[in-house]
Amino acid sequence: MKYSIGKQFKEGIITNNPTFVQLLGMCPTLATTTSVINALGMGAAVTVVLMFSNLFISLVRKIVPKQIRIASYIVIISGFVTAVELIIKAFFPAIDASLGLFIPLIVVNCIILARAEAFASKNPPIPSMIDGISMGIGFTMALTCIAFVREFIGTGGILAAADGTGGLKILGSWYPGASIFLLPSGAFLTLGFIIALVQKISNTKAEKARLAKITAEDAERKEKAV
Amino acid sequence: MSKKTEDMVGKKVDDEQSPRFLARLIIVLTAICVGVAVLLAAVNAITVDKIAENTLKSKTEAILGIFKNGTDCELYQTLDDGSEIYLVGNGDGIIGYCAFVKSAGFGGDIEMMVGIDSDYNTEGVKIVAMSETPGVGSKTNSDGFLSRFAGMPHDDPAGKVDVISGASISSRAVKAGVEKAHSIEIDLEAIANEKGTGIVRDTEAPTAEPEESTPETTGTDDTAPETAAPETTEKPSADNDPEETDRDYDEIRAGGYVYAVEETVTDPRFVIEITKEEETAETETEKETKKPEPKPETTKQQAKQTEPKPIKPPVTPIPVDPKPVDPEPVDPTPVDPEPIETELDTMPEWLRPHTEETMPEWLRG
Repeated sequence: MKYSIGKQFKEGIITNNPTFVQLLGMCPTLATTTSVINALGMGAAVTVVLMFSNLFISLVRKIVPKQIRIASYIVIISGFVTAVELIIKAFFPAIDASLGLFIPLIVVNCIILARAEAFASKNPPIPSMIDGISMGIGFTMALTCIAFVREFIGTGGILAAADGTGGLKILGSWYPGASIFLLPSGAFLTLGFIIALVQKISNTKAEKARLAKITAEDAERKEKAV
Repeated sequence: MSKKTEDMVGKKVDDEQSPRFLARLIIVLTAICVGVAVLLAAVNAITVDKIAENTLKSKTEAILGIFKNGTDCELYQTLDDGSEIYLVGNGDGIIGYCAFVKSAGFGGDIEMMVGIDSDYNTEGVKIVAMSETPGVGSKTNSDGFLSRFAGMPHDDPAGKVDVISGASISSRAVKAGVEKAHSIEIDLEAIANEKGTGIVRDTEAPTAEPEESTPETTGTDDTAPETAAPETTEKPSADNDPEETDRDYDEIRAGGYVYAVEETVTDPRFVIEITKEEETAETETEKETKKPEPKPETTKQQAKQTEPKPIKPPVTPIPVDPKPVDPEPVDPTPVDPEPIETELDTMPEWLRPHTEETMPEWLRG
């Protein structure tokens, strides 16, 4: 097996994170991160859809002709999204009330089609499924990070239930709550800052590696010249 | 499959044009669609009952939250625009009905349950689903706002409810929803006869009434504003005269201020006036409730000018003796021919023009 599960997970969560590195699926990211519970619900739904759609697209990849590739992928993805939506409506009505329109919008979430095109259509079923799971977990973690910041600064507590009640009140009642963070402007601000932070860290690492390489090459050249 | 349809850029593969290839396209796409449809049918079969149960549960919760004495509710009618009528009973009979209506709000439809009791007054309003801006439009989903609808009559269910400032579109949507619920024609007697049950008249007084009685009780504490308080509160609430709700608010306040001034005035004329008005308190109130009616026709300017009207001028003006003013003592001595004071000398120093010595450096030519 030239596929390593560990490597795939590392890629999905850190090095090739769909939100912070690939910048895919920004619309549901911004909209559903108003609270941690919403983010976890959205992330779970996307993970399930990714897993099954990657699996089934990988199974039919050799049969589907190139010309109807996109059409058949969309049919498969929307089928799974509708199934997930019905299950959420039946068994998790609170999540359905708060996520509402964004569950059906998973169909046009770029992450799913991007992974289908980039990975599932070219690789065997089991690695495709693992890729789906790892990308889904990366997406969920990214969403949870953003939602944690937004909910904490916006309301002073986290893990409020889907209808706004309950939750862990971290800051006391003295905190008025910066509700700008619960509105779209706060979403953009939080996302921007976190992406900048991620880029800084990865750039720093890349920069260090590049500098080390240049210094080594330079030293080699000087030795040879001498 | 030996025939590969994946080709390099610019190179046409022969079998792309063949009918076999077309057939393959059609079969594959159809097969995928059929497969997905079967999957969805299976999932739907599992979940459809649960979903119907969930929606009914949330609506039943809302209905029984409005009618606290109610024990059971049943769906009576579903209208074309999606509204539903639920009959609510408490074992003895029908105590009212709930209308499930949708109203276009700021961020989408607001779905609400409007409870109407057997006298066709609003029993209560509960919002079942809304997607308004959190912190702004979502303020309409608060007890403080929704409780204002309770007790409102059938012909004007939402006119007197003030909108929440900053959330006017959401508030107006809720008001429109309540009005829509009242506009659905329901004949409770006919329904009761149909079902063979009776109607239980609601003996609980609506919550709006206690609010009106409290200003009157505080009015009886003081003697002076006794005539004032009932009149100032009667005008804003205006149970007996629905036209008064359209009155200009300034005019109402103008009417109120007239009497407020009386309390603090110490001029003897007006003190006498108040005691006189106490004796004729009844006729006064009658006159005041009649007076506001012609007021809407007058402009604001005229309203302000007619303000002093209710204060009657005193019958016997108390003579005010003017203080004897002493004329300025005239100096008998002739005026000395002293140098006449010029304006410059009477001027304060800072106002006098600069001289050579006082001119600052930066101001010199």
